[in-house]
Amino acid sequence: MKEQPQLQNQLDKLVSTGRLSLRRQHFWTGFPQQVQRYLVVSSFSALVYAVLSLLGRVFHSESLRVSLENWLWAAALYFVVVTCTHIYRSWQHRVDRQRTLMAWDQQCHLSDRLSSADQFLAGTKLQDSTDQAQWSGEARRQIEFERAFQLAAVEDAATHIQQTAEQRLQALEHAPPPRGLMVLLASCFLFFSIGAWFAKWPPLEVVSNTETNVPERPQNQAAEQVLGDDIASSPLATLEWQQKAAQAAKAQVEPTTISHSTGSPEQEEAKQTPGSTQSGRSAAATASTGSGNAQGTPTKQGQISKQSDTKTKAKPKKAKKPKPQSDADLKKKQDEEQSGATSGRGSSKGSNRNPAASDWSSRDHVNTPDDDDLDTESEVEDDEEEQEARGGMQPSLRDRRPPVSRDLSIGFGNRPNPDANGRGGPGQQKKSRGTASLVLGVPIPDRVKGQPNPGRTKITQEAVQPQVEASEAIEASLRQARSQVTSPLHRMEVQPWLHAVVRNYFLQRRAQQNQKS
Amino acid sequence: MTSSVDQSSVSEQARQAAQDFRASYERIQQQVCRAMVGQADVVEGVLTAMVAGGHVLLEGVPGLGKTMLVRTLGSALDLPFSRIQFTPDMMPADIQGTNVLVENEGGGHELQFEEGPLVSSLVLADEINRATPKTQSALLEAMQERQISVGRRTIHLQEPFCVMATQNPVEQEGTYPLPEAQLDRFLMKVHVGYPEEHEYLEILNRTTGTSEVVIESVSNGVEIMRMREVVRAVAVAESVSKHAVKLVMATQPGREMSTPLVNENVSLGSSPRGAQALILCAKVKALLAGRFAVSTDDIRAVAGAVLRHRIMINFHGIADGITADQIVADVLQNVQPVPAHS
Repeated sequence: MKEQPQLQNQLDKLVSTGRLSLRRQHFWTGFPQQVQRYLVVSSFSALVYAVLSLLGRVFHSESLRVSLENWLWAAALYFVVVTCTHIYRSWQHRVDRQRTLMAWDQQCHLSDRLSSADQFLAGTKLQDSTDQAQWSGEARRQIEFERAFQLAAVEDAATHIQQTAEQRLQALEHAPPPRGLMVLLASCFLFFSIGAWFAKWPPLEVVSNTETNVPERPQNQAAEQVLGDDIASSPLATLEWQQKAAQAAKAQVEPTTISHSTGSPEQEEAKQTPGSTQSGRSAAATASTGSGNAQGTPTKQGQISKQSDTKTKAKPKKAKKPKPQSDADLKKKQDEEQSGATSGRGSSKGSNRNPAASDWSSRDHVNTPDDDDLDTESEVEDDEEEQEARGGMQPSLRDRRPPVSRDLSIGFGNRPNPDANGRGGPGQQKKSRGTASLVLGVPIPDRVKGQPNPGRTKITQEAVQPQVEASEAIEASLRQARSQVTSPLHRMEVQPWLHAVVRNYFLQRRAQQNQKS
Repeated sequence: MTSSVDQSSVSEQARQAAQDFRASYERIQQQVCRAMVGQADVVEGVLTAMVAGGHVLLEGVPGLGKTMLVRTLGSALDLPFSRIQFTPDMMPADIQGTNVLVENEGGGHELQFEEGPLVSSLVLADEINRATPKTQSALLEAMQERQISVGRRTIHLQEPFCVMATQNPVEQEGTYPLPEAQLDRFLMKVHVGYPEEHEYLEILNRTTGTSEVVIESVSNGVEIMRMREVVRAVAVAESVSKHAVKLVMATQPGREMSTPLVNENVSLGSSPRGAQALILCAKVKALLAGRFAVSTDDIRAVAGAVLRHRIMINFHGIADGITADQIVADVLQNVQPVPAHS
């Protein structure tokens, strides 16, 4: 077995080399993120550069124009600063000793042998320094047994330390590259390119005036052009040149429009009188612009719907009797009504044969007059078909059925009375059954179990005010002893072991009474 | 500091104990595997719970040999074995024991306590979820305190005491789910699955012929207790214990280290008993691997069997079909012993 200090030294070496590797890993793990942040800032600065270049081009301001080289130098300097900061942070990154050893364990598949051994070695020193005399007997034996396992674990780890020291700690897991790194890089490059393009492009006014055939600069300013764009683009010179160019443009407006007028005289007249009504525009121009700038103007379809002849056509269509449904639809509707299924339409009206059935159509369903007409029509048709099948008009006999007889007679002859079911209409009294009902001449009221009287029980509530009643109190001395027992007395059951005690007690009392008497 | 020679002798004691442990374990395992075809994980789980001093809950469909496994283990260990078939009308007195009126020598009668089947070393609680919670709770004291209280009488159960319960996940009608307090007392919950194709053939050959497998008794209670002592002595580093604690805390919703899956789908996470069980089972795992200290790999290897029955899925998780095994897998994925980017 190796000595513990030697093992400790080897573990320390492993920790030092592992820490270096882990710091290196920390650097390369976090570097893409730093690059990503750097690219975000660089993209933003490139965007600012492009915007400033555009503004400088528009307003012809030299103060807004910054050369691309300066921007690139600034970006490079910022990258160096970011990298150095990250290197410093990675170097200062605190790598735990246990974490380093666990990383070694994980790489070499040692099942935490090194990290456990390191902790056991530290714990062994502590245990040696503490007083173990306080433990005795079984507890001390168990502690020593546990310590034996710790020592065995340390020895087990010592056999693996040598082969571990020969290896190099690899990165545990490479961090995934941050998303959008290439997009940021491309955007950064794009913004810088745009900014550079804006910076190199001639001023905006020059381009527009050239396109509108503005007369060239006077000959006396040709020397300025020869000197270069830098001098020509000075603010003072540009201002003078702009004023002269504007005057020249005014002078050329009339001949330019006349030279392009090759249409008919009406069109020419219309073009020369431009107004808010757009009446002076050509048909093509009106057609091309009419749909774009007419807010709220009805389209052609809308205008057609306003016409009066279409209104007259729509009215009889609305008043017209609803179009008769096809046979398949009617049959389907009848089937639904008979089965009670409404297929979610909410018109669960049911059959009209049951007068008690209520129309409990769904509240969500909006009843239209057309739907009601269709239902009543189909019901009328059903009745008509039924009457025709019976040979003509038939009276409605549904409500004229005789009430069920409540006769309790046996019947005629040996045949039972088919109507003797004891039930009648709602107004009559239910007849009693059983032996009592067979006794002649004895009226037996119909009683319903649980109710004091036949029929419904009416409960009335009256507000009764308490009233004082005069009464004379009986004096206590006038009260007499009661002569007899008014209520059953409880006879106390005496436990068997109390029998003798109770008997002796009463015998003594009787003896005392006899002595008194 | 003790000298290196003393340390060698001390560590040699641990090496010898660990070697004896593995030898005893393999003997028992061989005997069990003579009757049990396949199901190596199940056998290992049951034996782990046995030598770790805990109880085991076996869950599987009928006909997979759950009862036979426990009976075989009882035969191999030469321990008092009792089987309780739980039914809905079973009462606590049926398993704990009750006072019975017996006739004494003088012709008189006296009340005498008749021990129930729970007073044994290996108790097979078959279909434990068919008994009412009242009867199920009668096992609580026996499983945790190793004693039974009936009236004014307290019976200390003989060690080793191990409850091996089975439950059927299919027939859920007429069953009473085990209360959380009792589930927590089981060291492991082992899923018994269907055997493989070649295992089927072996099962048919063994069970449909004329030969009958006779299980020899290769161990006893004293040896089991010795094995338990060895298990308890296995060293655990602080970093490994911290990892077990992190795993357990990650199953508790609302914790800092719990995952979104846990927060959304778990109503009750593992208790500190879960961490204890993780360490104990990992110690057995380390011993079987020939090591003297527990590693985080051992903790993670037993996490599924130890934590799955201690995690209660809430209504949202049940509706989404989330299982406790998925929760444990998610926790294992998110709680790493060595964080890759720290």
